[in-house]
Amino acid sequence: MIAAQRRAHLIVWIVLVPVLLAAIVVGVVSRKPRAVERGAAQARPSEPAADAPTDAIAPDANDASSDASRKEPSR
Amino acid sequence: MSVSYTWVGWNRQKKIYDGVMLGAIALYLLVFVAVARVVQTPGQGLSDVQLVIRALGTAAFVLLHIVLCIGPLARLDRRLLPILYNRRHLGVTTFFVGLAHALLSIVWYHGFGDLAAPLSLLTANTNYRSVSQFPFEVLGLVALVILFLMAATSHDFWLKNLTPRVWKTLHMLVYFAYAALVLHVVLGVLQQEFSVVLVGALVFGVVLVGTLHVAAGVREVRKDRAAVNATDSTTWIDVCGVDDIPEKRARVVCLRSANEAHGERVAVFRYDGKVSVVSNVCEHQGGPLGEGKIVGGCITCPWHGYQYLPGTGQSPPPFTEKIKTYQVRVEGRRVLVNPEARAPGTPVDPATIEEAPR
Repeated sequence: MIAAQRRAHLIVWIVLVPVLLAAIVVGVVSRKPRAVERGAAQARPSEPAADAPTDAIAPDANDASSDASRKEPSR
Repeated sequence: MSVSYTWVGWNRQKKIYDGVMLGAIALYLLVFVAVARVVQTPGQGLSDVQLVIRALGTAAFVLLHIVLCIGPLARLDRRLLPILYNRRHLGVTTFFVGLAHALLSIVWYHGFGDLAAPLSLLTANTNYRSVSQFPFEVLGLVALVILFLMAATSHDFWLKNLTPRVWKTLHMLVYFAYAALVLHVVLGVLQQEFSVVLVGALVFGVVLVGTLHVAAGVREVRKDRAAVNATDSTTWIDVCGVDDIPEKRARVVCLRSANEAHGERVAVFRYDGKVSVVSNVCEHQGGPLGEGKIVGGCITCPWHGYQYLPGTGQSPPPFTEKIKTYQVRVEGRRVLVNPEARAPGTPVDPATIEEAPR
């Protein structure tokens, strides 16, 4: 049993090392920067999903044509 | 070695070991934050909290490398056996440093929104098919859970109650935790910012740990392959010459009896004009008894000092550990061993060494 454990231990490392090195290479090649600010990773369920219709996204206040630039209708 | 369980069997060596270890970790954290504040580029703009998070993460990662290197180093060179002592405290400390890194990260990155931070950790990012956007935090969490299980069961109480076999298997999960942590780094910080130093250190760590384990493993498997075979259960196997065994030390031989598929290592001890043969596997953590020596009339394990009487395979009272024993006889200057193991703790008469002809 002990001898079998020793062989299993050796096989684990022979497999693990190339797999981890390959993972490092893949990780470096396909990297894209992401946000690192405080609270950046917090999920915000009240925000629209990325594939939601564009009219659900808050309008840009600097855009003169947007709804934000319109005045409240008078009654 | 103790007959009753205590939280920590403190002694002077352990206190010094832990003091040095905690001092070194504190110094590392201080130096990391101080240096990172100076060398970080203006665009990075990492806050002190973020630097502390990284310092704790790298400290835990470095500690895990050290823990993983100790085992094979001690097997490759017996002069390094003392560093094996108290490795357990190093492992538990690795968990606590990793835990501090995880808690601070969760609060900082997930603690300022609508969802509870732990829930946010698991639901904020589900891009499991993307490499660059992979939720690397989950990998860190998996590694932390494994390190927790190991730290929680590190005490001899659990070793005894889980049985050494189950305990050893559980603790071999550390390799899985190591792989998860390498991926945690690759898919985490390495995606945020590319650093030649970080990639180089990561590759160096993997190659170092892997090479040491493979080198030690190959050496051990070769020893097993050199097993001496028996043709039937009554065969006495010539294992070595009496003069090949240093006084109060052992020669380790791998025996394979007729009804066994794999060989079993035994330790052939020579002491006070006698020879005794016992299993090479310590009952405590499977330490190599044959690499230990006889101290005060007892075989003493080089790993944690567990002791056994060479003629019975039993620990001296009040201790209760037992190991297998083997029948042995000396003919001329040759040692012959019966490969059929006796039940652990079975008394076997030692063979007497005849005077060498002058």
